[in-house]
Amino acid sequence: MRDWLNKPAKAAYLFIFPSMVILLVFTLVPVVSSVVIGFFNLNMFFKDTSFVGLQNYAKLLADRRVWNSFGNTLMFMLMEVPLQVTLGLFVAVLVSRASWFVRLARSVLFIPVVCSLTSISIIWSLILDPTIGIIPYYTQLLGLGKCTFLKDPNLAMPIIVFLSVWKNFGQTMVILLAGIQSINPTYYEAAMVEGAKPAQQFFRITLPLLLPNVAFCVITNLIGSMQVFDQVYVATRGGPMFRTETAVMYIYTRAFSAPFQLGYASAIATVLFVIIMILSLTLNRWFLKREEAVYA
Amino acid sequence: MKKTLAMVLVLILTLSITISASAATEITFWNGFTGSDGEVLAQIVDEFNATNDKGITVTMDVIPWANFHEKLPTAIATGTAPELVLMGNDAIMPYISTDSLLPMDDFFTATGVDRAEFPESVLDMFNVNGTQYMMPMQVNTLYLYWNKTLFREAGLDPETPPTTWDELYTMAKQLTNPEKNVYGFGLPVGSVSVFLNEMLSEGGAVVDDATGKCVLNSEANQKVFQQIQDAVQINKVSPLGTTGADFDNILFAGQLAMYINGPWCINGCNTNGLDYGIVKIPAGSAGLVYDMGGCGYGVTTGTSDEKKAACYEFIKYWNSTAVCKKWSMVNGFPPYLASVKADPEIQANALLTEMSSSLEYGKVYLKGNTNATTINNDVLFPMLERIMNGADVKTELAQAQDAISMILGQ
Amino acid sequence: MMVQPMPRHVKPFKLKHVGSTLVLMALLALVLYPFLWMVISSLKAEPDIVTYPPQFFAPGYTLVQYQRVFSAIPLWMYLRNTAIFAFGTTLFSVLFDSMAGYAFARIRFKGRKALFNLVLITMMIPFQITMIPLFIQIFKMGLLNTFAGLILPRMTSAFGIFMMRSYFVSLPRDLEEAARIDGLNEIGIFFRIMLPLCKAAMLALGIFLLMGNWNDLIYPLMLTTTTEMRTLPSGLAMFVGERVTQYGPSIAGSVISLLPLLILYFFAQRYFIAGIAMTGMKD
Repeated sequence: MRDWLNKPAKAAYLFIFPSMVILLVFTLVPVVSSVVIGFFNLNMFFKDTSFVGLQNYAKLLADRRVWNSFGNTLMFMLMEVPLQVTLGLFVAVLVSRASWFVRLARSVLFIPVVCSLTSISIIWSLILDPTIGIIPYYTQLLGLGKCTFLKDPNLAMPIIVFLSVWKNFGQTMVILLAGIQSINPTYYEAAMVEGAKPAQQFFRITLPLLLPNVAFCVITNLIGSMQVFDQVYVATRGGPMFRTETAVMYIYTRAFSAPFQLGYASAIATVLFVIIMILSLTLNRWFLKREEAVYA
Repeated sequence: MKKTLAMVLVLILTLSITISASAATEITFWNGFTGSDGEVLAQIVDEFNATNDKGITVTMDVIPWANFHEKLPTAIATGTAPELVLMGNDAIMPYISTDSLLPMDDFFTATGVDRAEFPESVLDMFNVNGTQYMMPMQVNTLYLYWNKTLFREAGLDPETPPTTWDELYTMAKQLTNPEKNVYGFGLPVGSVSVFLNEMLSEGGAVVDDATGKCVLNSEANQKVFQQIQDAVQINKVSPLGTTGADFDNILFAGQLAMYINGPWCINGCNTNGLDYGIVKIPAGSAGLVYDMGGCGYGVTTGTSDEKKAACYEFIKYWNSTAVCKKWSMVNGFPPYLASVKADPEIQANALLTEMSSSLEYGKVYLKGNTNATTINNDVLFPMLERIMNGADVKTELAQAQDAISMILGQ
Repeated sequence: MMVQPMPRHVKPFKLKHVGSTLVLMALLALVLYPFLWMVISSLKAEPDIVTYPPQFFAPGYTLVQYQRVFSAIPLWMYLRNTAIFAFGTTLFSVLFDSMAGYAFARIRFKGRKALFNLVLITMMIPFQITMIPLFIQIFKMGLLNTFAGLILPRMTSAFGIFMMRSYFVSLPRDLEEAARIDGLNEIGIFFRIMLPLCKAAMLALGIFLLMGNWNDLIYPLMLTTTTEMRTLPSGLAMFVGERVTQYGPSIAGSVISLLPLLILYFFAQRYFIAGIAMTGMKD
């Protein structure tokens, strides 16, 4: 017993025990179950369950909605991540000065991060409502024509991206701001002595030194955008014409609406999980290499 | 081994709790009545709780329909389902095919309710292969709403709504005014109700009643869908990608001249001070054929006999003349009980009377088909959306027919 | 590790202040506009909300939408449930995450790398993938529709472990050696030496987790089966969910659901921002 308290290498297990048990029971076991369920024909009522081997996987390869939903997720990712990180970085630089107005701006720009995606999606879908929404009305007044936003198959996904960026850029801003503020001021002083312009300072000092933070934002945003669900669920439910049906949304639809195909949904979920794993491991490795190159 | 033991212990514990809890006659009741009609429903439940002499308490939980059908299957699978549920006749098959609802063939003998009060067509909506799975709660009918102000502005007679589908589309074109953001007619996505009625009235169908085969790609249907496409694409009478709930609000905002929906919009029209009228939906070349639907009470599998009796008591209370009459009068649902139809106040209401007579010639869509929801969600809704967005009607109908035939296993 | 205000004399960027101020003001408007619109609309009568052309202001204002929300759903009960769930999970999670983060950061033990990789992997699993088996599991344990069932699976978070580990790695190396020489055992070292040092980090993590749990929709929706157990966001989502005939109550409901956290943010802003800033820390 005293060993457990006094020997660090043993006490460590005491420290990690609660967390490991909880992660094991409530995350890892469900994931494994989900993979197993993917090999079964199983519905929500748990009736007529049968082992079907790889049939669900064969089926998903031929399912156009699977390809469509993964394509949409990719589209979302390709739009959301660059926008979110660039805007976050841009604003972080803007608010890195110290003045009362800037501090106020920081606080306000962070507000959407605190709010639930549900409420935000509700507000925006009302504001963008083609008939009673105020923004479509203005676009019409401005002669931009009748804009139906979330109802327009070509605009719906960009709007979902906009919602997500609107909600989360404050988070990226704060993370990058912390990075900017931890940069040693002497670098800038030296640069100013050399007469470097603000833009040069940004590209020569801020950006390279901020690269680890930017990388972090890119990776977390990429992983997050693979899982995009809430805003779609509330604002469009995947429509119009499946243009906003993302991978998780489709998995959810397959599992939770008739005929409640848990097995099939789990098979798609497994594929998504594998993609996320590969993506994040690759990115991690790539960024680590870049970082080493910068510091070398 | 230890784990199994623990599991068994937990199970026994859960079981004993369940058993001891069932001593009181409290029943849980789920439904999706989120609108203003839900408030009336809640009132009626409260009245029942206060007045019934058997000490039954009904606890009502309102869950929006979309969430309702997400939560109920999981609840049934885990034995945590409510005893009493309310749902549309179009949604029951997944539950019936998995034995999740108790047969209610004994309802009339157990409660002494007179079977002759109910029209056969209404009971039949909830009868699958000769077994009664649900008891009626309401019959849904669609009405044509029209905005008299917009009729006047377009130079049409505000007291003459269209009586045929052709008339409706001609008027819709005249009523549409893009400058004022006024639409002539609402064609919703994510719903089959409007075009199903039009199809039936023009002599088309999704599935042939006699052969059970999908007959979607028929000439009659091609004509109907071409008309819908032209209305949306050429005449722009209806905004694209708009759901039923969206249309409700466009109607309330006074921007929609004609709309087909259930009686639950009446309340909103009144609140928003619209000058409107409601009338039966238009007829087609095959006359007026209704797609009939309704909501029924079901009792979930696993409910004890005692609780089942309590559910029956509540259903009996609902299907009394006074309660059914109140429901019809307040919410505009057509009465189905013979005694309610005979009521002088109901008789004085021409529209309700006419609607209730429509129960005789209504048709139930995809009745008893396990895959009705799948056919709607995975085939018909997407097809309708693509057609409205300009896809070739014949190709779409042919593809959808193939897809439905495959789902039907043909 | 908190976000330090920038020393006054340092001016790294000479962006035109006027230009940057204007850009910021535009961004502020973009962020504030929907909230303003929401609050004003929640005070309108139904016909003034659903009107064309849409009007920002209404001829008159009323509290009727709020009354309708309060009469339609048990808001206080939802609020209580949310508080128990969100604070309960957060407290446990902060403690357990700190313990695990500490061990991963500062103790060499067998299997450390493998176990930590496992933690990283669980960070990448979308909840929607595990939710069906999780639901069945919670049910089999007899914990469905209980606070225990809601809190237990969230008593630790992989992200929290990751974050606390990053924090502990950044602390000076010899802290615990000195304490060991003083005769403190490992548990003592953690609680007496380490925890007091990472109060700020724990608070930041706590706020971060609180935000997530408070706003969570699907998770509490799935693991509760009765109205009495529902949380504020899930209860309101149910209420708002199908805006069939009324916009007013759903807007008022959204305002109410946002208020508690916004008030908390107003008073504890610095910790919210620090919490997020810390999530971006690299070890």
